[in-house]
Amino acid sequence: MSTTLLTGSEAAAYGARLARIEVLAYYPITPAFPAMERVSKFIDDGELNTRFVRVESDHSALAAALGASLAGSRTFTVTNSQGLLYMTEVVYHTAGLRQPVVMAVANRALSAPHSRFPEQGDAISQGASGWIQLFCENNQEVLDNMLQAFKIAETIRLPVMVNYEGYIQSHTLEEVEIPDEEKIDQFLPLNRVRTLDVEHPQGVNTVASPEFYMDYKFRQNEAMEQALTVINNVASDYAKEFGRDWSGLIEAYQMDDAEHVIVAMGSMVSDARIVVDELRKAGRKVGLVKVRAWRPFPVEALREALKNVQLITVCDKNIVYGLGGALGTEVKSALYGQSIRLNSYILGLGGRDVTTEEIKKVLELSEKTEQQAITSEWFGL
Amino acid sequence: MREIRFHGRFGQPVGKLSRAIGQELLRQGKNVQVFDAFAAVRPGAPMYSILRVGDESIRKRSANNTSPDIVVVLDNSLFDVIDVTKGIKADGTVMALGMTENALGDKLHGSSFVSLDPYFEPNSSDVAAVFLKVLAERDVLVVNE
Amino acid sequence: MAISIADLSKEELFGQGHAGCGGCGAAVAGRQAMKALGSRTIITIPASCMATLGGSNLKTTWQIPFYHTLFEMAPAVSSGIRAALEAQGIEDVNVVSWAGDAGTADIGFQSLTGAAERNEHMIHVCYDNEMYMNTGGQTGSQTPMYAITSNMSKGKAVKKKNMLAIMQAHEIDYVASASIAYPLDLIAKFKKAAEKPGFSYIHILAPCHRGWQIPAEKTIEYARLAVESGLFELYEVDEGVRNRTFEPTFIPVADYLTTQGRFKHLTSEQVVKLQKSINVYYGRGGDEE
Repeated sequence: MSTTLLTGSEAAAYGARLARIEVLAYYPITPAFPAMERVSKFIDDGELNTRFVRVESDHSALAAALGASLAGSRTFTVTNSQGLLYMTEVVYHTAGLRQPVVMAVANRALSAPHSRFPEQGDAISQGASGWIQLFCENNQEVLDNMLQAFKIAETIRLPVMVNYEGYIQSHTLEEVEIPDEEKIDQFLPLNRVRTLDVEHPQGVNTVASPEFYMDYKFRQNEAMEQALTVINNVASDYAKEFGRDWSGLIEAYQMDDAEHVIVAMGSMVSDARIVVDELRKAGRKVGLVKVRAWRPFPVEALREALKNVQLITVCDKNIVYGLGGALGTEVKSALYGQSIRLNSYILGLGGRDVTTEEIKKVLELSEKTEQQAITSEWFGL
Repeated sequence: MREIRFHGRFGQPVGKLSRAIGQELLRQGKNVQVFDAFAAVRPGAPMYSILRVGDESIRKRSANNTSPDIVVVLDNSLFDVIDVTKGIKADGTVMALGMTENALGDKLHGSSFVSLDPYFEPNSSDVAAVFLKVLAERDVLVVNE
Repeated sequence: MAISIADLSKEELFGQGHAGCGGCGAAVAGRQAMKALGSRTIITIPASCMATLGGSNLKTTWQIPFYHTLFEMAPAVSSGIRAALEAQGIEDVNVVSWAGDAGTADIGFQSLTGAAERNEHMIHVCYDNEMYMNTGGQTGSQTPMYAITSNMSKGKAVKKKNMLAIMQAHEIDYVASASIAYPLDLIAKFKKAAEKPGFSYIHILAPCHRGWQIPAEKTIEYARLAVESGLFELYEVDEGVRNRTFEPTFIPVADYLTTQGRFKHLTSEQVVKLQKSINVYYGRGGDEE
């Protein structure tokens, strides 16, 4: 165990290294590329015994990772924004084939207009893809979530995305504790499943008629629902083993008697903690719910955590056009039937800064709004 | 938590310096966050690197609108190009080498100025160590949240 | 090198109970290739007739691991499979991606050129029926000039893209053309490809009687006429050395073309022009005019 300064990219790379990935495939894109280069360096330096497939596109990156996974190897890929959209077809396909591929995503805004800066819109666009999606608050969580991602993926046989924001995390150094390899080996033994195996040949993804297709989809969704439990269990096992508790699906922060609650995910959670602490010091009953698992969406956990609050303010770094912020929409839906005021705000798109002062202003605005907002409000224009 | 912003030009060891100081502070048991301005810049273009240091895990994420306690200017030609005091705290300090407060005049926008000249000996090899010494003397590293 | 039919394995690794049309050239190609490749083979097939006729729901005709991939990614998937096998120390398995002309030359070309450039240890097969038959027979880059298809009723105005030349330009280990009318030639080429440490490309002319508008029982015959006329040359480029593997008898190209429904509108001038280009290619002068 050692503590060192790592960027989010490096933390993801160390996660892949500790997981002893067997096959790596990626196509360079900004800002995900430093994570890719770091894993390749581990391989070149002989610190990681991994086959690297140097593909010609993002689509082929996930295709190669999927092929390797079908042949029974632990596989990893990295991408973001346009790369993620380009591989979208394979993203859905991988989930349908129940392959435990882990993908790090250095969240970046989507074109047009062109932007290389942080935002969660790329991951949100994959919300119906059947991938488990974890959002990380800081670089320590990036590393820890990488390891938990492989555990979750191989337990429930579903692919997992580990989301961390471009630049804000991918290019920012923070102290990160790197767990001991031996302990990780114990926590994460390889559960090898060979779907494509010459010893046991089978047809994969044969045409499914209406008689079969819907039942496959039912099973796939059932696995997503079971993942709600698996994610919690893996987080608590990890906490027991390594002393860091990321609290499973959601984390309730200063929620005991909270009346006004911020709901957020990703790097904004970090700033929101500062705001909550400051307002608490000033005697305000403010709390925070961090959504760590965006898919499967933790409906029950949120209903439980938010049942006694009076006002919810959701912060979204994404926009679903014609609907609003994705998290705000989901939280509203999760709380259907409960009469809690809820306002959701869209902020920080395409790298626009979100300061603690701005989060405070958002909370003030939310408090001044008499009625529950029907659609998301834009902040910081 | 204290925030230090290093200004220089792309190609100069700006990030290298902030990282070296960050590593040393980590060794001293501090919590550290370091990042360069989020941009794709060509060699010679103005850029900056941010160092945040504290006794607790750094939670602040704001990247474009930083509010430094100390601004260190590593390339004096920048004084004519950008406002290095942008966002600086009311009691913030600007540091530079080979400059005087009088020469800078209103470019300081009221911030106090510390000349780094006395701290640098000719051929001083460990620049990071020099900065750490200056920052300690200026109480920047005494964290009292 | 000489193989006889009697030497071939009796084992049928593909074809029994497949769901293809009677007289399907692609299915014939699959059966022949598997005689060379054997049971220790993993095959990936992107969207195509070949992907759908090999299995549906809980049944498959494949006796080896078969994966029906997305349209444009079979060579990339196979690259990943090879990497996984290497990581696990499994060395005696053939990895094959098997695509139609669309999955090879058109929508699938990006992943193909990527895998070939990396000289991946695998074989890519193009079974070429010269149109998009799985969607009803539209024109693609492998459709020959003049051919009528379901979406170009007046015939294609431009030439067929030369995939063999493109793949040869990748300087991969092995490039070969093959025809289902010459099974021993085809099988010998698959055996050679399977021995290569890097990338092999085999382009099989596999007529589709529905698209070509020929009688179902004449699939093999038309495959043979294409070769005998000199229009489809059987050759290989083995580590850079080019070798014609069959010398055609040069029957008139009209014998191949004019009885196919897709070419029935050809004018005699167009046929003469095609005959001339064949003559020039083989250095036979203008004596066939």
